[in-house]
Amino acid sequence: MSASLLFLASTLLLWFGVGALAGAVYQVVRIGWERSRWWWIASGAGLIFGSGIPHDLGRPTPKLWLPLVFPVMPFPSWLLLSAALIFLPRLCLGSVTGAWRWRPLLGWAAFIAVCLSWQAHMDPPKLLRGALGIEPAAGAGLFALLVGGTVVVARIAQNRRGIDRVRNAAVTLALVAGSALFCLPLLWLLLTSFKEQSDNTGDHLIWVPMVTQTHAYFDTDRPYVSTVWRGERVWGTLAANTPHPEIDVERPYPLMGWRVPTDPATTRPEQRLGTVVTTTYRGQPVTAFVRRELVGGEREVEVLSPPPLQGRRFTTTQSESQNVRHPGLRWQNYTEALEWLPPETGHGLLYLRNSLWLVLTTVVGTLLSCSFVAYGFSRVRFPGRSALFGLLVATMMLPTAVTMLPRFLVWRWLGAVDTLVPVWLPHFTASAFNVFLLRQFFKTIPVELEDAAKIDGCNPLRTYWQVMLPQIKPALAVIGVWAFMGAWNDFMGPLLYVSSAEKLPVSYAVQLFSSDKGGEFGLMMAFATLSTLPVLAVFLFGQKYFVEGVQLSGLGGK
Amino acid sequence: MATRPSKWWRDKSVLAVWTGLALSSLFCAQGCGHTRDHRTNLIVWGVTLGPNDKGQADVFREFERQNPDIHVQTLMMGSGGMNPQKLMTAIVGKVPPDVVYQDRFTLADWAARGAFEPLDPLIARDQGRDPRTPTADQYYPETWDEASYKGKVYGIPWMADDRIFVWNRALFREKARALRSAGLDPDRAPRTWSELLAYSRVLTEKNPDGTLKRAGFIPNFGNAWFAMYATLNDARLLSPDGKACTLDSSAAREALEFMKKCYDVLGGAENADRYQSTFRGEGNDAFFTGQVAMKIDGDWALGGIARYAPRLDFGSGPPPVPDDRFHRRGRFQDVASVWTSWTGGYAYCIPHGARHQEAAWKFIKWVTSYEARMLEGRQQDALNRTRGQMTFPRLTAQVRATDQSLKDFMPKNPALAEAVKWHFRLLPVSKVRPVSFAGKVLWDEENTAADRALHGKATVDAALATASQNVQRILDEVNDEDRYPVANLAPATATGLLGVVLGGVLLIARKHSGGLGKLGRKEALWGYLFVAPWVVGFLVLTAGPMVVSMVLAFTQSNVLEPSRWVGWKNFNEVAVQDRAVLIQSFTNAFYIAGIGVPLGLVTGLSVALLLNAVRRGAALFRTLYYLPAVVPGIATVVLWMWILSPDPRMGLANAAWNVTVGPWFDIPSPGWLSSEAWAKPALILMGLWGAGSGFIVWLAGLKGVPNELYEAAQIDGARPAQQFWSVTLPQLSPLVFFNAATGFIGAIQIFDPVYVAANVPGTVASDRLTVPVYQLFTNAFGYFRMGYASALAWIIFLVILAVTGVQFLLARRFVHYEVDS
Repeated sequence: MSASLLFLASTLLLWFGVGALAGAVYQVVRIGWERSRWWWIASGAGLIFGSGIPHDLGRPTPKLWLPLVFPVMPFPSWLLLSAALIFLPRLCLGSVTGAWRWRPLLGWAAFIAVCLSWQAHMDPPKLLRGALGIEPAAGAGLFALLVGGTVVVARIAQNRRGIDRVRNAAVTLALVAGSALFCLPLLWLLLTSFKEQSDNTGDHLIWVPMVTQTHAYFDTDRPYVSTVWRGERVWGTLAANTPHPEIDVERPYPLMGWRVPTDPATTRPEQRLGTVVTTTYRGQPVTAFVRRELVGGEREVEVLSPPPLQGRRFTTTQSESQNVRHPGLRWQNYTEALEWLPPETGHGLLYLRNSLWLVLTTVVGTLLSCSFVAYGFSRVRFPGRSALFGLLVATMMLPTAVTMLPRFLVWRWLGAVDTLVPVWLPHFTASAFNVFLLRQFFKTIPVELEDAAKIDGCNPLRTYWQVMLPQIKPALAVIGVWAFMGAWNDFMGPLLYVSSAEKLPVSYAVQLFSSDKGGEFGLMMAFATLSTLPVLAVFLFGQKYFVEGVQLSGLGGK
Repeated sequence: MATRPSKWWRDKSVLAVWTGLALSSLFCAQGCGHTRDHRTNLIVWGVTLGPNDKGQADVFREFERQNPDIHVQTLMMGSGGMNPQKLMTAIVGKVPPDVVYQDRFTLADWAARGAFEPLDPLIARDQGRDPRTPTADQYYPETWDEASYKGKVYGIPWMADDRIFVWNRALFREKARALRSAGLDPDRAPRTWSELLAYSRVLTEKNPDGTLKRAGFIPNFGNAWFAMYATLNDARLLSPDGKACTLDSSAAREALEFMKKCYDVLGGAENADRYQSTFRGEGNDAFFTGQVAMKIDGDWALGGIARYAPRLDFGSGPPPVPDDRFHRRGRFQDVASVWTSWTGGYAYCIPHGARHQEAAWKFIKWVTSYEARMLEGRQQDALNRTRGQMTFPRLTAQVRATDQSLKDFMPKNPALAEAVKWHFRLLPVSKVRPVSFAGKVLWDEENTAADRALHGKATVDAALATASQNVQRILDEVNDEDRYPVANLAPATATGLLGVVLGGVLLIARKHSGGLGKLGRKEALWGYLFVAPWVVGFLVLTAGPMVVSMVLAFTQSNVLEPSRWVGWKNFNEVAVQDRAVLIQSFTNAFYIAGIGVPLGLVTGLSVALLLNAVRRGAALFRTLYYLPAVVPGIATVVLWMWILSPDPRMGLANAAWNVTVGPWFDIPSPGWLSSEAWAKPALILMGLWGAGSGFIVWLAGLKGVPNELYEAAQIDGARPAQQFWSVTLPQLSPLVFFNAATGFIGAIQIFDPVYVAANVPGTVASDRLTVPVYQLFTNAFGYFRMGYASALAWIIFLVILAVTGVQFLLARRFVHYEVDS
């Protein structure tokens, strides 16, 4: 108990001391020495007593240490601390003013008890292990930074404008830091998608993507050609000893292994890409390219430089030759990811088409049906309106899980399994949330407008289409963008209903791709990036309307 | 603003983008059309042809050459292996593939439900007419029987595998002295279980802090599940008639006890898991690097050795057997072979309702023929040669092909040759998993039980007893199904639907019994027209299905067979018998929702407050913070699983952890999705990434707070913090409530990330990360236990209803609503 408690106490004191020190510096710069006396005393006391108390928890203590116990406390300790911070003052205040309020106090006490019992399961010394050992120089630097920073801030914040400026700078700084944090995964996605497999599974993280240099050459020993087969160009080695010229297909990958007849009209010789390596030839360092990998880790290479040896071929081993690599982006991850997709899907084109179809129908369906129904609920009077609307609001609470299976049976009964219809058609029946939102919006539009239309002889349908719909454009923009993203991302629908490769949308294709090609991170991330691009484009393009729409559409409460 | 000239241009470009998209989609449709031709499209699931599968590709190609009117389309679709949902949905939805390459031990499962076609009539018809017709005498009996159920053949076995014991000779030599002093011979492999434990004890090395430096033997490393040890101990997991589950027999318990002892040597399963999470694949396999000294593994593992560690000095032999078996004592007195192993493999099947049955049968006859198997070996070898890789003899279910393959491709490397010989020697004496319609459930349950027992979540006896009961229930369900009356669901459903419609009409009619004027009636008609889309959708897609769901909850049905009334049995199963799973799934969901939603709200609100305060660059920041939400959900999960990969050499999160939090505070990097404790925080983190985008709604809310309130507060001398607590937050409270309520309801229904994570190997067992909707999904669409799933759906509904109710009660206390004047 003693070591842990002492550690806790010393940490508290040190934090207090550091805080008071910053306060003291600030006071000196802002007001002057005379008002800062107590700050100095407090900080000195905190720092001296805090570091004076032994805090050895049975491991080597660094010379200087930053007491970081609290930021890394386990979750229950956090809860406990904050509960205590609320509970204790209340207790004290209550006893002073005589205004005891039992119920909240009991609640807080119970909460603290829960936290305590949670903590009882934890290893006590580990809870308090938070010292950060740092070098003395670095410690001095940090210290100087703290003092300097406080001085600068205090200088600028001399007057109201200065305070504003400091506040703005702090806000911007926080925003920059936050956005860096939020965008880091995206950056990592992009970086990974441009890296070679060996860099993604190497011995340490790599930030700069590297590419292996290759040399293009015409292989005369095993001619590499391409031809068109079944409407698609295929690449491969010309097969030996066949009566008619045939190709052993190597690419596109899904067709690998086919031996196909050549079509004289479209056949053409192609260059192979050989990996460029550095190796030695009779004791002389040379740059060469690999013509062929041989059994047992050997490779046949041809010298590229130095010039006198150029064209010389010899055999070396994988361990004696190093690939030549330089920083660069491996765009092939993208082409290969698409190449990997089944040829029946036009290498992903069909996925795109299906997704676009889904998006188009969903957006149109959502906008039309929701505004239509919302207009009915907000402006047309009919018996049972409030009852029906109550029902509509109630369905918002209904989990989709309840109707998932029976819906499948309904669509099966209608013979629509393995089509995209069950995925998009329901969007033409208006979703409760959007109707609710649009109804609120319709309500803000003056009735006079509608009355004028009525006097002009418009029937309600025409009023809705020509008068009301243009009024709610901002809300429609928001719902449209949301519908777009929802349709593009929809996973559960396709997962349940679609089973033909030709009918998959992009979202589901990403999951299938990642479970098939789980180890190929570059390809996986490239495909994930590709699946993001269309929504990203729509968002970047429509974001202005979107943001304005959200603000105008009453989503901000009420 | 409306008069800004740029707006016209912008609107036009919106139009242009849409036109472009539409045109390009049309173009896609055109471009892809050409692959469709007059040929029969034979769809084969469970097979993908990768760049290393030339042999198989050539076999398919040869089939197309012989049958120019058939086009073979192969697809993985996550089927064949352990994910039955897609196939089941396709069969039930009447759009099945034509051929499925399916794991044999699950075949009976499908056959029992009538999901696969029996092949006997086809075999009987073609026998003697077509020399390629597969017959039982060509196959290893165990493999053929595994593909049969109740005397009918449902699949033609293709490959077969078995497992042998391999040990790192070099390591044994290095530890020779220690081994000798323990009375063990460093030049041979352990042959019995007690020897194996003794060897492992000597070879295992630990760091001072107890973590592993080297493991002697990890029972689940390589490819040996509980099934392997049960096989070695001759434990029968089902009674011979298939009606009783004997997963808790003494032999099975002994097998699991043995696994536990192996883990005890390593300092427990948790310790071994942590160690295993640092293992690498391919060339850095833990067995090559000496991180693990001995393992039980399948024949496919030899390819890795030949490719990445051709000089590895290793020995091979049969998996060590229980001591009594080795000495032929006790119940092993009459055992035919001391050595045994566990075999499995795949078979080609035809699903029920396949559109091109004849073509499918022709295809199966060809791919399983001796010629095709030989062609496969030859072509694969041809590819391997150009790559500088070795070809191994292929274990297949067909005796003749296997023998020929052994002759053709015997490796020259003596260590590899020895290993190959052991694989072939063990194949005839290997055993398969029990053939039963509950095969998949048995497999899942036995592994769950093993996992629980090994991780100390339950005793061996208790874990196996629970698992046994669970399997028994499934067995009884089918064995006793005649107890329940066959149900005709149509009248009940129709009555329910009628009731709903009538009730609705009556309600409206009663409330408005007063007559409407002529104008009023006309307007009412318009009103009904306007809300008709929603009413129709509600009836067909919500109310109707709910009635169906209610009816189904009292039945046992799977679409393919007649339904039966079972009363409250389903609810009893969900809430009482499967209580543990139900509680676990809801605990997980509430954990994720309870921590994730408040954190998400706080994140969104903080971003909004900052954005509201910043003077310059708000538009840029807005975009940056919204970006994560734009990334499609599945791509997000895929990306985060990569970032959170436990290996700090690959995962960004743990790499950062290892240079900051790890060394500072002496906390080992978390296993995220591969560890039980960190899986849920990982999911929360994934959700939180997109939660920054919530600012957009908050920002709108902040703009809606009347400025006068702030001015008044300022006059009262309130500082910014005070203004926030006493003006901003109360004003925003309706929004907070709304977002919290909808966010919570959404988070409890979390599904996508769990589904994606569960389908990637190496993540924590899906039963521990399970959430209600995932549970519902697997029962509904994986097993089509529609009664069970419906009952579960109603329970989920009730829980969410209760949660919402509580939220509304809380809202009454804490939410501040403006009073409309």
